[in-house]
Amino acid sequence: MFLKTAVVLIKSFWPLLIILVLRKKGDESSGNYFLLIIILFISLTFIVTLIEFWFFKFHIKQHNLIIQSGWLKKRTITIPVQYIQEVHLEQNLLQRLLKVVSVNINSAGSQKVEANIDALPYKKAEELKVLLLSQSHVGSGQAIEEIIPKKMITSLGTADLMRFSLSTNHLETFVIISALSLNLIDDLKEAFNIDSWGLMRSYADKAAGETTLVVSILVIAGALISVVASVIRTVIKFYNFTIEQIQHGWKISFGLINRQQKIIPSNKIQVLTWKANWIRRKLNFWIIHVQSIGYSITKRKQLIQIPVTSLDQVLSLIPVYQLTPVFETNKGQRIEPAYWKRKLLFTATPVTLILVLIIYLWIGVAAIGVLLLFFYLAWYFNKWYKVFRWQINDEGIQLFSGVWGRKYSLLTWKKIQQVAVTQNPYQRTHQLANCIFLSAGGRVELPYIQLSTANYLANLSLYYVESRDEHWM
Amino acid sequence: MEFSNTQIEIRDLPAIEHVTFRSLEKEYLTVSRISFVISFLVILVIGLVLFFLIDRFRTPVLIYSSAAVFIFLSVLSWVTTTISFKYSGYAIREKDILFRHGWFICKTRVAPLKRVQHVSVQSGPIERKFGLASISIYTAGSDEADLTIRGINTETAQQIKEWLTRQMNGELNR
Repeated sequence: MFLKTAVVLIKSFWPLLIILVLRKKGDESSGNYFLLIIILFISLTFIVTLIEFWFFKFHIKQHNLIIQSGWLKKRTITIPVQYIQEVHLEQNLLQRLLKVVSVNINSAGSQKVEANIDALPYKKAEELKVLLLSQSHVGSGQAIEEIIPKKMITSLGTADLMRFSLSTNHLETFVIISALSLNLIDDLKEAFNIDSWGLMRSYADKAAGETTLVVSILVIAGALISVVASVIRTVIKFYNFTIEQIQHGWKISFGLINRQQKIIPSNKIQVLTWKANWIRRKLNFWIIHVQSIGYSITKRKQLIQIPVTSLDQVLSLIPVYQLTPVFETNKGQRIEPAYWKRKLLFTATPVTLILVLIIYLWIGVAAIGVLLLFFYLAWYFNKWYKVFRWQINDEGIQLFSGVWGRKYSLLTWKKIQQVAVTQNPYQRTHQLANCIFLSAGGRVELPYIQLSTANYLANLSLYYVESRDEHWM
Repeated sequence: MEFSNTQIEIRDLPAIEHVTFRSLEKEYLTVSRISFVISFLVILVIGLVLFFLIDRFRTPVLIYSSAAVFIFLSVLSWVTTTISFKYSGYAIREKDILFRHGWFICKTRVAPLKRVQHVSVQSGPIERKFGLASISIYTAGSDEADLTIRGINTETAQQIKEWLTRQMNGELNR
């Protein structure tokens, strides 16, 4: 238990160390008082933390996990063990050096981590996890067995990690890095009082012939840097990624600096998707996205990503969520062709026209080039329509889509929270509709299907939800 | 595990397309018109003040075009409010609650009672004057998790709320 003290000690003293190092360079006359205040502040923090540490206690009593904390303001958290949904173990670099882990406990109904136990020796933490999770499934005798790994499914080797990192979206990283470096250059020039535009112009005059060369060197350097950045990012996050099958879910652990271990119970998965971008499709490398409660585009943190090295591997993992085999995509049902035609007419056409107009006013006839965009969009929407397939089964609905990359989405009927059928005026006159299934972890949408089909799907899914006594969580 | 896989006849399924929707109270149209008029009056006042204060805005082109846009938008909103009111409606079945609304994109939403987390009834100042309330039904999820039906009689809303709560408790106890 003293380990936590050590962690706290180092945590609270590192700013002091940095300041000491920095002070050596600066002038020392004005810095002394400042230094004193900081030392006082830090020692105060340290003492308070130490006291808090002494007052932090937890125990399990009558199927409740009770965590007591606080010194002046006492706080007691009581979590009924049966409501505990997830127990995660997490280690940052410091904790790894000291061989302790922090335990995060999530219970039903809340979207953030509810209780935290900061530093426990690894073995103890594992024991606590087993204890908590075994009691959380009420009345199951084989409880402990449930979270003991059944079989190792896959782990990510160095080669896989390389494939994974090299196939990330470098364009994104590139844009971020170029924006950052442009900013940096601007700042530097301002700092050194250089008229950047004048400088640029003089360079441009001198190097008029070599501009292409300079630009291409810059672009290549930028590209290299972004690739390296992606690789580093991926390695840090997904280093030594392993996934194991347990009784009702998966157990994953990953990370280089922050080592994390997560249990994903199958009943927590709301929507399951797996996708590959164009390169990854060629490499047969897929990322499973586990959308649990509260997942949305804005709350990416709720998303759990699992890199998998082949589609077959993915398919072997899926039964945890849906037992029915994933459909053969060429046998699925299609949506109506009106989808891409309408989309072309109402999004691509106005966008192209406006762009052509603006660019025409700006540089003249060359604006015709923008028409290429129109053709690309036409191809894009058409391709999306051509690839899209869906199929229903006894358990749920399965979708397949993509233009460059590919994406599978699975939604089980029992996870449905709401169903909606929508129609725009065109769809009303042509007996078409969109069918939307809302789950607690995001939506699944079928655009432009026959109205009768949409109604049938809504009726069927409602029938499944309402007639079966299955829990969605 | 008990496993059954009986075929389900399509025509036997309870159909959402055959549900008779109960339309919203007539007063709700008045309420939405009043709130619509208020918001447009506010915009009108702001516009007039701008034209009055800033000389540069006082060109005939700008005045006429903004007046045209204003009139067009008001007429459009007036019409859409009416259309949307006529289309809107709700229905309660044994196991779910249905709500349809919209004027351009018409939407029918269904929330199974089993998935309802909680229900609330609320009413704004204008609604209260007309004895109206709106009822919100919350399901789990992030963005579109709540389904709000506006323009119901206050008593009806309370009744629906109580009924829903009873149903939810019944589900839990079972």
